[in-house]
Amino acid sequence: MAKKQSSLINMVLTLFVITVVAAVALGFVYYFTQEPIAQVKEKKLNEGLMKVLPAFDHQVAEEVEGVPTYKAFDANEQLVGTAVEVVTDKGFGGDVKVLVGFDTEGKIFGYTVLEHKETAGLGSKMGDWFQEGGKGNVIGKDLSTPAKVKKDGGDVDAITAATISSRAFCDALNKAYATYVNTVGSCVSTDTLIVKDSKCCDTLTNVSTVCKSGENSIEVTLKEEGGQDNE
Amino acid sequence: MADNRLAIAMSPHVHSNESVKKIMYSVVIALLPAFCVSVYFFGLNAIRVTLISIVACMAVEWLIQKFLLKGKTTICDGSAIVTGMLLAFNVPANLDWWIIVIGAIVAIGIAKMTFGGLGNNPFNPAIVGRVFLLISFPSQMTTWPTPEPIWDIKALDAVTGPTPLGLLNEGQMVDYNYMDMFIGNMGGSLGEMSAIALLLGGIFLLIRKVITWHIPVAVLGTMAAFSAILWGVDPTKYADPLFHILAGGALLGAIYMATDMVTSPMTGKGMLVYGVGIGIITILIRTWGSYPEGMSFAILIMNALVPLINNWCKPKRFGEVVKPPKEEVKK
Amino acid sequence: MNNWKNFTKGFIKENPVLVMLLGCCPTLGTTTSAINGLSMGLATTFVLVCSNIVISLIKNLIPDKVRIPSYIVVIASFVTVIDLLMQAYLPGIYETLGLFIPLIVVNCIVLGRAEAFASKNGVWASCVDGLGMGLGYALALMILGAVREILGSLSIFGWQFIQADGILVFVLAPGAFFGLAYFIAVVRRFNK
Repeated sequence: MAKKQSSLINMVLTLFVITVVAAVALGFVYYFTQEPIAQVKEKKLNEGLMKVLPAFDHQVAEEVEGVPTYKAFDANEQLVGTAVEVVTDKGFGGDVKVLVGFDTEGKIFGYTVLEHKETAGLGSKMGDWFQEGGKGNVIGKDLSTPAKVKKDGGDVDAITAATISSRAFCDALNKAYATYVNTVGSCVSTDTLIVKDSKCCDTLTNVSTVCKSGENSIEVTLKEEGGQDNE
Repeated sequence: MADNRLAIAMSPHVHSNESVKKIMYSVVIALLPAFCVSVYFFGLNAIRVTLISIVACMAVEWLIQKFLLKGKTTICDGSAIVTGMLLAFNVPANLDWWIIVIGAIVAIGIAKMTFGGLGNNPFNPAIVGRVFLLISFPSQMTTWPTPEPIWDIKALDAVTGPTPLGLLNEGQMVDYNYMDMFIGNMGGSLGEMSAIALLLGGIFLLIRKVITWHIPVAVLGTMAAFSAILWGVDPTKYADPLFHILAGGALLGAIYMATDMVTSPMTGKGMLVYGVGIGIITILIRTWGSYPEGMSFAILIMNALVPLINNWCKPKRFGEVVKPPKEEVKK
Repeated sequence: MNNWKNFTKGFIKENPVLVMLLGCCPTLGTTTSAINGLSMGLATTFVLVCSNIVISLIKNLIPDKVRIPSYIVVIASFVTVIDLLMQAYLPGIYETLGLFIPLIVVNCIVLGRAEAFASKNGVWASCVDGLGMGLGYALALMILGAVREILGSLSIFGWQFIQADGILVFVLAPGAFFGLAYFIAVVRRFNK
């Protein structure tokens, strides 16, 4: 078969046909991989949350002032912990992204470093250093007094020879705590409704925020539209 | 590069009894005062690190020349000894022996012999070795033993402490006693602390005409001027010029490492440009960089620019007319 | 005979990275470990074989003046396919290679083979050529990755044989340059 002439119509037609075929083929692949990709993403998030929160049954994702937070509940709709995903730009090599989990009393339950560009062998140790059993253990810490490295007058042991990375980590913790306080605060700030029985939650359709306060009561904030009235 | 048999040097070519050997041993002698000071402060450790480094450098050079290149060996010319000594002077005194050996392999094997041995290496071998170690073993390379006079028994349990530049990099302004810094009583690499010993050696090298004044003066002058401007802007945030010159590897770098004949420009004008570049980059890294000390990086960066500087600051040909005809200029 | 020659030339004689110095960006960027190098090499092989087959099939339908954009569209489609597949089924490897997978589009080897070989040869020969070149590339990347992993993190294929930090430079970008330079030097020495 002879080679096609490079006439305008030939060129336009060829490119058109090739792009259409490519687009259709890609559409198919996208369609078939869409679900596995979503599953992978969810699995990854859940694995991260599992590391930083007490055992939970399901979680509700929410954005608080642009910061992704995840509230975890057990099977009885009791809040067991809140995880906050924070980014700090104070790192030695750039942004540091940390997922910090708090228990219901606001103490750190766990953390995991999601992304960092710290120096390999120094700042990169932050993934283990501050865990339980690490030298700079922060697990169980109450952050109502902000975390600070010892050099700055705080009580966190900095990573040897990586004070800046350690400072960035403390900054991330403090930011996470600020967001955590915010989520708890936002529950009470808007119109609230006290529901006596926690099982009632299952029937509420447009619940935007649920959090525990007091002993047996759960505060439920309804969206502006209201939806159906509750008994 | 195959026909690189001709030595390129500035004319006129006058014969003298200078040889590679003589120059190298002069450098060794010039480094001895600083070595004595480090023995005083770090004791046997200083001797241990320096010996390992020299032996390793010579051994690597000998092995490569003997078995890999299968040519004649030239380890007696002293260049490996100088590289070994400078490498040792640039590491903490408590470094493990195997890290020093890796540094020697990199300095001689990668930075020197790969390019064809002495005279062909574009980068200063000792600094390449040092930077390689700094990046590879960051925690070992930045754990500095505090200097203690040898008769002090405390010296035995290796106490580690920060360097002045390390503190500065973490945002702390420290009041260091300048007299201590001048003598060398501060944290730092093995041979970089004592300003007075390094200056003594530098004067010896100047008298022996192993180095010229251009590079050290340009480096230190630029560092002083640049840091003085910053200090003038905000003395609470930036350190003063004297601190910058006494702290870290400024003197060691300016006098012994930047002046390496192979890796520095040939003409006086070129050397000045080269020195100013090193000074500016050093202060830039120290002030805004993530590493506390920038001397080694600055020298390596300017090493890379040496061919360009040589091309730009061409020496006047011997016997050339001062003003060449205009056609030539236009070309 | 001819096909065998087409297949083997990619390994040593015309190895894309070590002899032709093509595709150096992923070579330097992804070879932090043996497994990363190997998966990058195999991903490139997949794209290379597929695009070589398709391009040799449609080479006569494409007018000369628009052949480069057409080839790029074909290559980019296959790259997107493997990108999506890796995201779905090899999430661990995708996380480390993520940035470099889309860059296969502009990898000189792929377009180079399309232009130099597939557009002039039949389907079978192009397929063999792509496979040989791709596997040669994968092999080079895997060896470089293995060397860097052994020196840099004291492990091989993820198996830690000494519990300590290695020579960190080899995990970082400068180590890739050192490794590649000496690798090329050794291959040249034996290729003579």
